[in-house]
Amino acid sequence: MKKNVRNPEQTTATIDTSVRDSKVVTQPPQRKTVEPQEVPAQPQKSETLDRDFSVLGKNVNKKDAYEKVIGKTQFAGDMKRPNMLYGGVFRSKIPAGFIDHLDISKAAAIPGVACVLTYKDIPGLNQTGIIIKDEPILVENKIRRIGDAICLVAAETEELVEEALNAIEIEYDEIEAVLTIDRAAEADSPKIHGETNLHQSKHLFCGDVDAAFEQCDVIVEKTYSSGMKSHMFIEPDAGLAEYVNGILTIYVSTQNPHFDRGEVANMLAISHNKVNVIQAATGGGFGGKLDIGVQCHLGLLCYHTGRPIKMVRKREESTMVSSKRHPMTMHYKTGAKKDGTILAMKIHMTGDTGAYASYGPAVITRAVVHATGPYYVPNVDITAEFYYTNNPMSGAFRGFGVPQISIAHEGQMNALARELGMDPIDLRIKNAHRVGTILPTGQELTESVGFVETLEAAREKMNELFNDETYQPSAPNKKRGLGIGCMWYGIGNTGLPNPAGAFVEVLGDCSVNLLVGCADIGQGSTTVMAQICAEELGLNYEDINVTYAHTMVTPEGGATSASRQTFISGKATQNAAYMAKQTLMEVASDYLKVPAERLIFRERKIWDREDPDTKMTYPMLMMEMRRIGKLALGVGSYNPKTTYLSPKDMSGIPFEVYSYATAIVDLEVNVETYETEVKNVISVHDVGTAVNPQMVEAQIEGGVVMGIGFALFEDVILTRGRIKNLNFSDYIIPAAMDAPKIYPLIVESEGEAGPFGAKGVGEPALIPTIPACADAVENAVGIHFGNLPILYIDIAREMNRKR
Amino acid sequence: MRAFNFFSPETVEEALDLLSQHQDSIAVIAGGTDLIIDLNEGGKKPDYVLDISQLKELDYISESDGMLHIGANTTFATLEKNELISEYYPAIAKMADYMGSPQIRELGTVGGNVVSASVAGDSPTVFLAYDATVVLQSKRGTREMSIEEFNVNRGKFRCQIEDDELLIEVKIPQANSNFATAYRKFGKRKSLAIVVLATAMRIERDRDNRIKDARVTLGAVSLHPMRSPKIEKALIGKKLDMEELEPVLQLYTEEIDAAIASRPSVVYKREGIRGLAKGCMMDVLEQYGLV
Amino acid sequence: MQNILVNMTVNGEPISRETAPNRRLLDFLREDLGLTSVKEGCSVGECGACTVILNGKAVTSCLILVGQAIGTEVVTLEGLHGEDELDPLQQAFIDAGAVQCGFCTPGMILAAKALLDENEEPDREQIKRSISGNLCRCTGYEKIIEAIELARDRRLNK
Repeated sequence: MKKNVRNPEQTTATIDTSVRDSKVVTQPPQRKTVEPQEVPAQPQKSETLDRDFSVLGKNVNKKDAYEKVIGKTQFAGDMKRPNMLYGGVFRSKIPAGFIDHLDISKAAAIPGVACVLTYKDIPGLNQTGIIIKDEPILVENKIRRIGDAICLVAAETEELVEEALNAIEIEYDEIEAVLTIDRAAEADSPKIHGETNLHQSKHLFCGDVDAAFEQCDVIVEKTYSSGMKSHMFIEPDAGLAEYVNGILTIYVSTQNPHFDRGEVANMLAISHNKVNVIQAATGGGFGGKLDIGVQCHLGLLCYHTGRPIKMVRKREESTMVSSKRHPMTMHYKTGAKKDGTILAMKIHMTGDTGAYASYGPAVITRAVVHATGPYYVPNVDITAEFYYTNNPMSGAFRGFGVPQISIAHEGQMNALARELGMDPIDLRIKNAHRVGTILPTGQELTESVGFVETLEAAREKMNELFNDETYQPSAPNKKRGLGIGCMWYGIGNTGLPNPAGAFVEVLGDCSVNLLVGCADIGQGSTTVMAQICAEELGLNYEDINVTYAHTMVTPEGGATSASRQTFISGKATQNAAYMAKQTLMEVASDYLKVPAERLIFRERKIWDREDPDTKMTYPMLMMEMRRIGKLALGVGSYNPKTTYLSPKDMSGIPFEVYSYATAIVDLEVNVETYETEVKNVISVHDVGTAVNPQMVEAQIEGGVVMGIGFALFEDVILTRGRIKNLNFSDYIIPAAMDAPKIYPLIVESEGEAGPFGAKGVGEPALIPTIPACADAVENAVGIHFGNLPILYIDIAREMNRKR
Repeated sequence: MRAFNFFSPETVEEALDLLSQHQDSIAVIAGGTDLIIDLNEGGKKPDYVLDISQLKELDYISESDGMLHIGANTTFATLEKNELISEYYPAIAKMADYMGSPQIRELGTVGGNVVSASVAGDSPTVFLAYDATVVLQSKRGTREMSIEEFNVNRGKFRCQIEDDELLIEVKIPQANSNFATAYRKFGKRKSLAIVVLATAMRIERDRDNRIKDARVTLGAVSLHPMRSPKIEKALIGKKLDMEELEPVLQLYTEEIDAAIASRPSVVYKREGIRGLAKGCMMDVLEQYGLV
Repeated sequence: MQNILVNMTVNGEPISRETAPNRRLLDFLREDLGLTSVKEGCSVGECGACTVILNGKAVTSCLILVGQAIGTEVVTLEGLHGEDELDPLQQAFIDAGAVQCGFCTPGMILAAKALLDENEEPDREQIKRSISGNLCRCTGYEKIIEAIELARDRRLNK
């Protein structure tokens, strides 16, 4: 009867809700909601948190902002070297087949062409991939997608690169392209890798769903889907490679320099310390610069020519070959009692991972683990299958599958609320995760669960902005609707180790060198690390210089993905700073004759907490350090406390902490032209501790607009594996006039994990707006849309079908 | 971008000389918003590029002889900010307002937009409703033709321009208080949006506020903007009153069905066109002070 | 192909360079003059990253042949600030937190600069319209709009 009961009190075949309620801690720790202030004419760097921090919680200026506003920041495409070559890639024009004949001789003979390389020129491993190494750096024989790299060209000018690429002759032996997952699953379909097209399948279960559904008063069953999306970072992929003192040095627009280093070294069969990957300023990533882009190609060309070489992808090339968001279909069956208590969910989802795995395994795992939404569900059965196809490679894109499944779990909550006649926020509060909640994986939430507070703050703001009398459409031909969406998001990689490190040295003048591996792609991790470091050391923000994402110098940082850097690199930074501080504390303790644990380090001063007059300045301390011959050095690392997930039922601890969020979307649909306009969005995020509230807001605002794009604008159009809308002219991301007024709100929840209790917000920022948009459209026009994006054409079709 | 020789004449005469001399392999650039993309992507490989953006004599907006004359080098930004246009030619003003982006409007010219004659272009739909005439000039002389005649593909062009000709001017009958004009467009976002669907109308009323004459055009439903005699006929004689006009909206749907029945986009266009058309009707009523 | 002589004023300095005519103003500024704040994001005039101010107007430099810009005055982000003082827009972008990845920033600031030079007191809608040709994928535009409002107010000594 009972299957894998993780918590006998909670997951029995006959559900006793009172048992469950008694297990849920109803009094979460004290939290505070902070509403950001309007930007004043003279920005105040005022204390917005009531915590006793001197640097944390302050809106300090971003470390990189000055160089960026004066135009001095060097992106990889801006770099130049004497004697530099330009590189280009010859790519497949068919989605599936074999190379029948390839002739590079004409291209290689063009004066000014330095080399034309094929897979035969790779001395080491011709395989790349973040999780499964299934993508050739250069195709040997089999073509799996449009845009597969076949040859590389290096030449004196960009024009010559073009000329050489055009001179390469190829003949294909084309085979059937597998373009749908239905076809991929069939026994007789061509196999893209190995013996099966099934990339991965997952099964997460707890309790007994079948028995639980029998106990339910209401069951809602619906199918949802989400199309392929493109990151459309504004800077196309770019990089420059050169030898510096015998070390192959690659400056590149990337989210994961340490991974890049290993892939390039393995390809060349050289040790990892003979490759130095330095992150160039990176013009956005959103997951699309996690895979190997130009790194290996640059490395190979530089290795063979010995000359500096630059590659800058054209926009179309960048869109064609960088990873895409997985298209997914999700079937949900949700059962609840009359009072709204959810008892069971049965979920099946499928996804198209395209030609290569990329982050597919991470997406499927994370989607399954998050599939119930931020709600306690005692009986769960979730199955998922991802398939290989000859479509573009799907991979990481802000949220790793959670944005997709949020459409479904929130669609279900809203449908359930309608069915039950319940207020959708009340329904959510009733079922919300709290401290003490047991997840379907068996993990118990022990701290930092601020979900209910996000719901309450969203409701409060909504009531403040809108009331029944004034909430009217702006014109007779418009319908207006409010929608709600929520999410939870595990910080860091799912059930896998993902450590990051940091080095700290406090110099004699009290300035600090902080070295972190963490790639800053504009989100502001460099600033965050400096704030954390300064806070821990008791120095000022301006005292900290951060060197980041430079593999010869900085320790492993892991990927800037999974909203993990503030939490993991931040904790590593704090640990490194603390190690340095321990030496400082010993010396200060001897000098001041005060036990080390009583010392306060703050704002360049050190004093005895019990006798503030017993004090010294930081410069005095550093002088004392010098006198006795000590160095203030620190090494720190952090790996979140997780466990591997059981292959049987996915039980385990996938994440150490989770962020939570609620969004309210206010939009109008013109019921004559079918144009949708989002007018206001409230987006409330539990971030643990806001290290830099202004930057948290900035993440939320960017996420809101990307979420609107996801829900209402963006869709990759595929024809036989070919992306038709490769540029901004037809892949429509929102522009300024499409952006609403945004109210970003921050909730802070308490926890021991993370640096000063900080979690992550990068991906959460995107997610709740998406289902909230779908709900708002439904509330405006009275039609349920389960397939996103909801485009004007869909609204026109459905409204007139109904008519 | 392939190599070419570049000419930037200062007079129309000079430009026409160069055109006639190199007509086999010369590309004319005005605002550049279409041509440079073609050159950069290798879609066009001319030996010569003739820049006409320096021809100040083609940058004018004026009324004379009962016509409004718009020089070919007039940019959309100029149209957008021109008081004559915003006061008396509301459909042109609206078209200029929503075209491309601020940067594109500074560069893009009326002449370029008309000669490109893109399916998704903004100005052709409007100029057709205004009964525009284009003025073409070459060493051989000057000729005029209606924009309807002009918008017929010829060789490499999507219009009737000859290799040695320059489009000099677009002219339309001067506005008067009996005319009302409107343009509505649907794009996929509020800026940087090509035309998904558009419609324009020019209405002439009689003393009793009935429609005396109507020109109705539909954009992005065929290779070139098309007029709809059917809708025009239905409008003529109608009282300028929303209740009376509204039944005509169904004819718009019928016209779309007839034009693009088998296109996937018909799902939207057959429905959305009524909303755009209704918007035009409301604009017209407003201009007449009838709402 | 005959080279052309390009005379223009760039960031207040007269320049005179011979260059190939099959170059866009974007290429000329970036490659010939090394003004790499001018970014190439799409090459089709959609993203606005290559925006410069030409004769006082914001334009996309990827859609202009260098020959078409002869005799003009061009301003790039490098030319906005003085020796020791930033332009109010540059300072406001820092203060309002309007900079994330920074790739759209040069174009955004220049589009806003063209606006404020023409209309010293634009409202929020006019500001949004002025940057409606500059795509940003990071910020959701909110802090950029706030920065422009802040710069507007500071310019007016509000």
